[in-house]
Amino acid sequence: MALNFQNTGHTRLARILLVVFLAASILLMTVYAAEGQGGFLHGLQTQLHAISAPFQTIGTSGGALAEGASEAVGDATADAGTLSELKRQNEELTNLLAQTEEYRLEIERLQGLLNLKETYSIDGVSGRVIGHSTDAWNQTITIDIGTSSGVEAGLTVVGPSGVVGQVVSCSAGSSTVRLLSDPNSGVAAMIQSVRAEGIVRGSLNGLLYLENVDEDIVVEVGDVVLTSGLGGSFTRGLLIGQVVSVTGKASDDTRTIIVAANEKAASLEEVMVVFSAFSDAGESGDAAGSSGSGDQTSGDGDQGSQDGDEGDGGSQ
Amino acid sequence: MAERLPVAVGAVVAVLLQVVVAPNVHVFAAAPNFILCYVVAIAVGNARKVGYVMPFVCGLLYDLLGSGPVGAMAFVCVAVTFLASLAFQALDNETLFIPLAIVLVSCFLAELGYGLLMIACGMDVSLLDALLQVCLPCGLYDTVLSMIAYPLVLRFVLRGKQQNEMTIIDTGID
Repeated sequence: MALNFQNTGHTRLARILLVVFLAASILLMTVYAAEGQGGFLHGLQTQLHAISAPFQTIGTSGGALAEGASEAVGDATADAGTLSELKRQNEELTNLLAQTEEYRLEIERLQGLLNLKETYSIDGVSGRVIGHSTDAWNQTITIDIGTSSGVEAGLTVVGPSGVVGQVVSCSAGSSTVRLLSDPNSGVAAMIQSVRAEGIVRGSLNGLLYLENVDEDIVVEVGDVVLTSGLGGSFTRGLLIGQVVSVTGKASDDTRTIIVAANEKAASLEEVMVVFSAFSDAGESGDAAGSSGSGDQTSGDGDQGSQDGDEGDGGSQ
Repeated sequence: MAERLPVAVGAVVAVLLQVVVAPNVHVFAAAPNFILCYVVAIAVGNARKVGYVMPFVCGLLYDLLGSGPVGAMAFVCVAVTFLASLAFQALDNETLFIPLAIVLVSCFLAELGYGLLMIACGMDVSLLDALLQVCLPCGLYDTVLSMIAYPLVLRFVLRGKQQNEMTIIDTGID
């Protein structure tokens, strides 16, 4: 039996350190929870996100590189017998085609953002996604634009199809965006067809749930859901997604409404941070673009106050 | 000092893996926690002379590099190091089963503990959702990685230290 509970010097020191570190951890958690977004620990976290973001990019491109390398090794092994000029040219052309396809897809995505910008008369700045959350509890992305580009905490972030999240912290050259699918995310929303308001919340499983909708409102699959702008944290009238599932009936307390998110976090490569959109200027229009009904009204009281308030923009 | 260097190097590697690799190897809802895996492997592999500085610093780095509350993973890493080393000292029967069982339980307990802290710090999810959707899949992922990490840690980081200490302790008791 190799029990070792002797009260040696090392054990005493280890026990003291154990207590000290546990106490320090609890103290840090308390300070973090109490200080708010502008606090020292939040600031330190933001700075470290900015520092670690390039490493995350290495990881992303490293994965693609490894995939390409394994393909190249496979090709090289297969061609070892022949080594003809035609094969070499073929490989070059294949690479060129792949590169061109990559450019085409990028143009397509940027075109999507541009279309959205024109549709909503968005004044904003676009950036690339350079990092994703490292843990399973948070759905965040890091983008390569920050305060030097005018980005502030609380601004709405859109992808090629609509709202994807909100800036929660930023440094000079990068920002952290909390996605709608994050469990801490909550956005005041409106069902376009029936003008009913509710709150779209993220969840651990990545689905968006539309909650707080009046019991007597009939919600149908396919209904378009937009930001309502209530609370002022999210720009009004931007597309959140479409209702894909309604479990339970109207007047049912336990009714669950699931909204399909615009974009999956993994597929996001470029996004736009919205400084203002048409609704901020008090205009009205067909908010959901092609799928909208065009009867949206404006002027809900507190537009443009993009200060990242709790309640509409999430917490933590 | 020299014997701590490999542990520190291993910790740096774990942190780098967490930053560079972890965001790209999510499996459905499960994300790997390389830092936790390393901390658990060290705690079990070096149970008789366990230290708490490395788990605390690694956990703190995890918190600062992620988006969760700062201090939560540091707390979990320190606590799980203590519990895993204690369990190993109490249960070790020199078979491979015990360390692997402790690794498994430690990973699940750590993920559960972190989930509880997230909820305590204001995350608006139910405990059942957290358990089913994150703690269990992540715990499973971490267990697999820890079981890979454990022999590597014994081979490259601790380098037979455990066996030497076992001999010394056995001699001392006798």
